[in-house]
Amino acid sequence: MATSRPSPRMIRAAPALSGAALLLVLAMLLAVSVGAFLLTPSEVLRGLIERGDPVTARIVHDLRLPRVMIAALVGANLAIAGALLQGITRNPLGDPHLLGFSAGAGLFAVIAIDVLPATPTAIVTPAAFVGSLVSAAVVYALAWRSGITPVRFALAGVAVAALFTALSTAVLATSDRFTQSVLAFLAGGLYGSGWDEVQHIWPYTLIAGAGAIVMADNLNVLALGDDVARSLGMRVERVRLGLVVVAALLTGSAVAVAGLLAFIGLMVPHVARLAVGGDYRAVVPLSALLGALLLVLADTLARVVIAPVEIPVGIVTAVLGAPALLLLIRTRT
Amino acid sequence: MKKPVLLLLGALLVSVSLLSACSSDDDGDSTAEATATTASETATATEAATETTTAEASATTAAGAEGTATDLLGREVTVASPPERIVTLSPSAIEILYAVGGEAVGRSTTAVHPEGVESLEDIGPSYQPNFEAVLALDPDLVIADASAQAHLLDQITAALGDVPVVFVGAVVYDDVATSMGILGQLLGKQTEAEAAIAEMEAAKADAEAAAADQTPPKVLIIDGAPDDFFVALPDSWPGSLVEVLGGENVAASQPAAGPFPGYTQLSLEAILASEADVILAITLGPPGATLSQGILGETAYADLPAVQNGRVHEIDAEVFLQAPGPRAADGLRELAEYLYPAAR
Repeated sequence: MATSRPSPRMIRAAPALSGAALLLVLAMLLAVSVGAFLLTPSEVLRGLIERGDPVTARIVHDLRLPRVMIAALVGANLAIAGALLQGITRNPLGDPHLLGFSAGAGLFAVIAIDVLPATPTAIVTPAAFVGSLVSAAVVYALAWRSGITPVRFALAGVAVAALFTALSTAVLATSDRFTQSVLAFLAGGLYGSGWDEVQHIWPYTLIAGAGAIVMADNLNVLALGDDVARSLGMRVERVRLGLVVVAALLTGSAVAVAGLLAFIGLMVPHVARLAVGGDYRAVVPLSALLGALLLVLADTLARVVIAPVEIPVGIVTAVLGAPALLLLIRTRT
Repeated sequence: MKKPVLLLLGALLVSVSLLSACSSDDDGDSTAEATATTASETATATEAATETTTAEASATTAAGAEGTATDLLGREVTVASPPERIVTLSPSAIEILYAVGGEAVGRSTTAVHPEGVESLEDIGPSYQPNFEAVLALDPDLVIADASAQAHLLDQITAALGDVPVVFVGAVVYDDVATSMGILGQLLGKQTEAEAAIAEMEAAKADAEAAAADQTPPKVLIIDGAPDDFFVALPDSWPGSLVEVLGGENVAASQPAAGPFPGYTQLSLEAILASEADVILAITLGPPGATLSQGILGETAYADLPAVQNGRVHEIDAEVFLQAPGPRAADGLRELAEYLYPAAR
């Protein structure tokens, strides 16, 4: 079991981490500046601090700022979950979306919204988290045969994703909710997100994210294979279960706020690995920063491309993400 | 290695649930109440409320001070002085506003009536209003749609903060007059509102006169495209207009089905068995063949009384479906001709 004393590798990751953090701050500033009308950085700051012009202050403080924060939190959650799942399954296709975690969260959120017609948003997040855990448990049980092998875990995940997505679609198809909102949920979107939604997600990001970073070293050991990890004294199943729960927490809260947002969990950890190599102690925090960065930028595009109409941000991430991932795969091999 | 992971996990779960519990108790049941009650359910309640508040409201607005009204969702709305920068979030909202002599500075994307409103600032589609665009117009009153936007109540009020928001609109015919009364009070335009309400009531009286002593026809109301349409129930907007005219809705006993409350889907067989005397068709979707042409061109429907007697009528999608509002007065007269041609 390795210690978390900074290794040469971690020191090498420092520039990438601080660079990503700087880019994230710049992207958030940009995102708060653009919208129905353009604000200069100084107007943004005045809106935040002095609340001078009431209209500017309201737009900056009550509309754009919470939205940008949500985008950052959701992006970070999904990217960390993706990194964890790629480590657990030792599979580059590890992703909360592909492995059924999002589908379970989505199914439970949809049921909560549909069955209890007046569900307060406060209930949707725990429901989505429970759904995410349920799908993780189902995947785990399906993959279990005196232990988990990563390949079986991935295959079971794909099957569960297909099943739960189909069930969600069935619930939504028979629902009398407005079709536009349903569409936004399926495609993933942040329309109408305000401080309430920020309240519902930041505790999950903070705690599960911290948990993920603390536990990231275990992924390095897991990456050596179960036998080696065991011989190094790791309780492999227990650690894996712990990591799965953290990934479910992160996914559930993200889905509750943003719907079924694809691609971030899959793509971002690969970009992070490209920058800092395979050490999960660097990959996990960098994924968090890059995931936040990507979703903040994508959501800004979603807001302004055909304003005043918005496109669901999930469509932007997919349109940007698919070619980017293909390019990465080609240049890497 | 062993215990720490479990401990960490336990601590993590506990702390997340604690944190989210204490951070999320602030949004109460306001959504619950508001969205559960649809405009039609509250209509009768608010009508009564409107009548009682009319007197006091006219007293206050006449003094040039504040106006208060209870909107279609049962919310009390107050404006400090007659609003001058009004943004409307739906086609119904803007039509009702103009009917009582008001003017808007912003409109939803599909709001194109009355003439001239296309040139107003576009604040996005009514199913997803762009709140930045709304606020950028610096409104002193925002008019939202009580039937189409009730589910957005929390988002709208949270995003617009201290800007007063009033929900009007219509699910049934009388809602239009109620909405006119509400806006008349808020705008201090009671006289104009009363005239507009009188026009709505006159049209209703005409319709009822046309229906008097006539045998009610069996009516089938459909909306959509020739190969995929929904059937309107009596509690939908077009259904409510046919109810005013005393028409017998052939789908009256059906439960709602599909994504739209107030609408259902009927099989071909059920439609043939309905023996509808009149078919009112509302064509939606891309330009091309109309729904009524589709019905007339389909041999399966050839035996329906409505088809045989040439009583399949294409009716306007805005007036009878998308923008419930003042134009329903003329709409009612039009429907009276279709349902009771002999009465003319």
